[in-house]
Amino acid sequence: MSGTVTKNGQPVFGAHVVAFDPAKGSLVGSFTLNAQGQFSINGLSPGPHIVRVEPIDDAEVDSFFDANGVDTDFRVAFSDRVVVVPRGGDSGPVTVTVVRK
Amino acid sequence: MRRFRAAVALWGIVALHVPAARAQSTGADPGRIELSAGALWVGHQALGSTAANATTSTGTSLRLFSTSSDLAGAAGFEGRVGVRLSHALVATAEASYSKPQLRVSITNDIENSTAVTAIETMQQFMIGGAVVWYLPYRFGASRVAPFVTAGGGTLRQLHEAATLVATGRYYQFGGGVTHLFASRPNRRLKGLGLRAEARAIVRQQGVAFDTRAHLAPTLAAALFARF
Repeated sequence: MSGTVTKNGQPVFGAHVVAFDPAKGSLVGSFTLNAQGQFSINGLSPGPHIVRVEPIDDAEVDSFFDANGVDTDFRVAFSDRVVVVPRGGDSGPVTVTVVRK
Repeated sequence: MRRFRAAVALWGIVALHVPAARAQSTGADPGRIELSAGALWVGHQALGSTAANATTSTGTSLRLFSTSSDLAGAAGFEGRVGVRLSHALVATAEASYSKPQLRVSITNDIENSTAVTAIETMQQFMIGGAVVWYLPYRFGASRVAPFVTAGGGTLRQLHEAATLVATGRYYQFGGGVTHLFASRPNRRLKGLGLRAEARAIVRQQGVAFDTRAHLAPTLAAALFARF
């Protein structure tokens, strides 16, 4: 699964993105890791997934990134569509829009 | 076993018991073909609830949010080909198509995020067969005939953009009436009418977030032609 996190039309760097499989109850996480706010989550089981985006906790920012540029000023948000992961392929672009706290 | 055989024999006798004159007036002779096409509405199916639990550094479970899923009711099309086995029994092959929405409601977020419903539109194909038994009663100058039906088949559900398919089985039972508008016993087209019915569809597998069978009420109406 791959996609982008945006806020006010701008990409968000350092957002924590989690994919949830309701059929298996599994959660797999990743981050937006570039200036374009793009993320990628590999190894998901085929099927429908729910995507949740949250800011990294302030206390954890240094654990994962150089804190410069990491955006933590947004509310938790979900993708408004069920994201389907095909067998052996990519979901197609997923865009999640977040808003400021 | 004896009781079962007796029940089957009784059922056969009743099924075959339709006065010949009445059957002829509707073109309902054994071996005749019936074609029908129409609309159906497949009702909502609950697909269960799940919690998204993360495991903390201490090994305990932490609920991030909860989901409740369902396959929304949807209208669709249905076609059917039937062969008269007797005056009262018809064997049918049928296919239907609909586009239900898979809806996942997300609530109880640990950070109080606004509740959201994530949606995906699916394509659902059902292909199967059924047996229709016309009851030995008639209304409205013999033009309205009640029936009961039971059958089953295979289910194919395509996720959005046809990226993934989920397959399963379905079973159905129900009943309804046919209303014959026109009867022309001496023509190739023996009759035209309307068929209306209510069914319960029990679906196994396909898109589901649990292992249960899922029940959906279904309404259908179709125009039929008897040859």
